Amino acid sequence: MLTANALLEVGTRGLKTFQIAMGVTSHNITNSNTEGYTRQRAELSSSYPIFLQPHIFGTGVQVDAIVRLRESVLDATIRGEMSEVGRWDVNAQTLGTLETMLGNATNGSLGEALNAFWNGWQDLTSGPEEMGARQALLDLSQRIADVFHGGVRRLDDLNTGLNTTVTAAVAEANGYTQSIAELNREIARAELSGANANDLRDRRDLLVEKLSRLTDVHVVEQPNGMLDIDVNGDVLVSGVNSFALSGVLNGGTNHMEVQLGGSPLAFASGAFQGFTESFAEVDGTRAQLDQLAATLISEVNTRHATGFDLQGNPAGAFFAGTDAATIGLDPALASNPALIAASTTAAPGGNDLALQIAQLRDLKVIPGGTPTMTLNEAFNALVLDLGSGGKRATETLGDFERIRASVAERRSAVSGVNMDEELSNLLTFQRAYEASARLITTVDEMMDMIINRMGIVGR
Amino acid sequence: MRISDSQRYGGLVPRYQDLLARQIKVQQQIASGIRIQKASDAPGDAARSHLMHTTRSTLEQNLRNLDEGQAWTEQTNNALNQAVSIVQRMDELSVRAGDVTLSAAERANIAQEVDQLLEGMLDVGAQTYRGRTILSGTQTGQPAFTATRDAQGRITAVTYQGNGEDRSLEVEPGRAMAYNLLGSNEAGGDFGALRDTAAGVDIFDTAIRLRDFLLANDSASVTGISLPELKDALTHLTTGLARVGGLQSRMNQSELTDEDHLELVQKQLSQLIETDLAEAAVEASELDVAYRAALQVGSRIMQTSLLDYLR
Repeated sequence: MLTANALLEVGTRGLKTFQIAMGVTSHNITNSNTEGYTRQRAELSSSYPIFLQPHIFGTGVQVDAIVRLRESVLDATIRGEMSEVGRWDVNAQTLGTLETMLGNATNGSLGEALNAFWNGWQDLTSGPEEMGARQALLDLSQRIADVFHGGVRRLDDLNTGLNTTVTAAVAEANGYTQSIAELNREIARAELSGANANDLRDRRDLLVEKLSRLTDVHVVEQPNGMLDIDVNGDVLVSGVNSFALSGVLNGGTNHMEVQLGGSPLAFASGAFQGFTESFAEVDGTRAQLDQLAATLISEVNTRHATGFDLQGNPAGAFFAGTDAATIGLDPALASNPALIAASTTAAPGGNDLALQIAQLRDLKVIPGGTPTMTLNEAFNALVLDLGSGGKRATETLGDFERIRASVAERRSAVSGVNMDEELSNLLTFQRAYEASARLITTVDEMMDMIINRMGIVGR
Repeated sequence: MRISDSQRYGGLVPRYQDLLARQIKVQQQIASGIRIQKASDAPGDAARSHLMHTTRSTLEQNLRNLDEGQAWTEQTNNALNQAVSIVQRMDELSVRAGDVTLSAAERANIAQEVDQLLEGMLDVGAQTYRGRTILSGTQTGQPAFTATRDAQGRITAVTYQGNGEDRSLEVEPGRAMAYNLLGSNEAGGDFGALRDTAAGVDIFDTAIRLRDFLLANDSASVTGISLPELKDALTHLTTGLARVGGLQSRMNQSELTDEDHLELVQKQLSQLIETDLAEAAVEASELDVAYRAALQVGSRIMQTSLLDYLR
C-alpha cells in the first residue's frame, strides 16, 4: 500500500509535470509568429511504478522529453525548391531590367531610332541639296549612337549592380555558414545530456533554408547532431568549422566570381547560379548590341564611301567606331553636313545613294555569312528573346514558388502553432495542475486526520 | 487536416498581393490604353507590334515622299504648260509670218516677239521647286539651259547644263520611282522635254531658226521648216505632259495604296496592343469583387479564435 508521503509525491510530480507542460504551451503561444519556429510538445508518460506485493502502484506522471514536431523529410524538399526560387528570382529580375532597358513592348527605343534614321535618309532623297535635311540626318544618326551608348552604359550599370549584389550575397552566405557552425557547437553541447536543443535546431534549420536560397546545398546530419553542408562536394560547414566563400572580380569578364579556397565554385541552382546566368544574359545582350552597331556601321559606311558629297568630292566614312560603345558620327562629317554623300555621282541633286542607304531598312544583313534578318528584325529578335526569357523566368519562378509554398504549408500543418489547440492544451494542463494540487490538499487532510485527530481519546 | 495559424493567416497575404498585382496591371492597361506593357507580357504580339511600327513608320515616310514628289511633278506640269503656251504662240506667229503679204519690217517685229518667247522658254528651263531646278536632272543648282548670245544680246545657241540622271523617291515600301523630267536627253535618259535627240525635237533650235528666218524675211522657210517643227514640238510637249500625268497618276495610286496599307496596319496594331476597354473594365470589376471577398473572408477568419469563448 502506498504511504501518504508517496501520495504527496505523486501530487507533487503532477504539479511539476503540468507546470512544464504549461511552460511548453506558453512557449508555443508566444512563438506562434516566430519565423522558423517549430511547435514543441512535452511528451508525458507514467512514472516508474513501485512494486509492493501483491500490487504494483503507479507513481504519477513525468515529462519524458520536450520534442519538436517537425517532418524533417520535407526540409530537404523545401531547400531544393528554395534554391530554384533563388535562381529564377535573380534571372527574372535581370531579364526584366534588360527588357526595360531596351525599350517597351510596343515601341523599342532602338527600333524607333532606327526607323527615324531610315526616314532621315528618305528625307534626304527628297532634298539632297538642302542643308536642313542633311543636318536632320546627322541629328538622327547621333541619336542612334546615343541609344547604343545608353544601352551599353545601362548594361555596364547592370553588370556593376550584379557584381555588388554577388558581393553582398557572398557576405550573407558566409554569415549563415558561420552561424550554422556556431549553432552546431551549441547544439552538440546541449544535447550531450540527452536533452533536445529544439530552439537552437529551429534557428539552424532556418539559416540552412536561407542559405539554400543562395546556393544548392547538400546537408548531412552527424550522429552528434551537427550538420555538415557542401555544394557539389565543396564543403561549406563541417562540424564546428565553416569555410568562407569569397567574391573575386574576374578581370577578363568583369564578373564577380564566387570562390572557395581560391577556386571558382560551380552551382546547380540558387541565387549564385542565377547570377552566373544573369552575367551570361548581360554579355549576350551586349554582344547582340555590338553586332547590330557593327553591322550598321559597316553597311552604311560601305555604301557611303562609294558616293560624293555635296561639293562633288568623293565621300569618306559616315560612322566612326566599331561597336555599340564606340559608334559615333565621323568627326569631319559631324561638323559639316555637306560631307554626307547622297549620290553616286558628283551632281548635287543626285539622291540614288541616299535611297540605297534608306532601303537598307529592308535588306537582310544579319548575321554575317548568310544573313536572315534586317537590322530592325535583329533588334526585334533581341527584344523578343529578352521578353520570352523574362516571361519564362517569371513563370518558372512562380512554379517553384508555388511548389515551395505548398510543401511549406504541408510542413506548417505539422510544425506550425495553432492557437486554438494551444489554448485548449493550456486549459487541459491547467485543470490537471489544479487536480494535482487538490490531490496534495486531500493527502494533507488525510495526514492531518492521522496526526492531529487520531488517538485523542483520553487526552 | 491540422491547420496551423501561419497557414491560416500567412497564406492570406500572398493571395491579397496576387489579386492586387492583377488589379494594378489591369488599371495600367486601362490608364495607358496599351495592353502589352512589356515584351514579356506577350512576346509574340510584342514582336509583331515592333515590325508593324517599322511598317507604319515606312508608310508615313512614303506618304511624305509622295507629297514631295507630287509637288515636284505639279511644278513640272506648270513648266511644261508654259512651254506649250510659248510654242503655241510661236506657231500662231509662224502662221502669221507665212502670210506672203507681210513686209520685212513686220516679220522683224514678229522676230522680236519670237526672241522674247525664246527667253521665256529659257526661263521654263530654269524653273525651280524649293530652289532646285526641275528639268536639269540631278544638276539642280543651276538653270537647265544656258544661252550663247550675239553682240545684240540675241540668243544664238542654247546649251543644256543638266545631266541625264533621275531623281527617285521611295513611294511604297521597297518600291522607288523616278519623278523628274529631263530638259534634254543629250546627256542620257530616254526623254528630253525641251530637247530630245531621239525624237529629233529641239525647241530652242526651232525658235532660234524661226527668228532668224523672220529676220531674213524668209517666209518660205517659216512655212516649210519652222511650222512642221513647231507642230512636232507641240506633240512632243504633249507627250511630256502625258508623262508627267502618268507620274502623278502613279503617285496618286501609290498614295491610295499607302493610305490603305497604313489604315490596315494601324487597325492591326490597335487590335494587337491596345486595351479592349470593355473587357478590361469587366476584368477590373471581377478582380475588385474577388479582392473584397478575399478581404472579408480573411478578416472573418482572423477574428475568430477560441480566445473569444474563454472566460
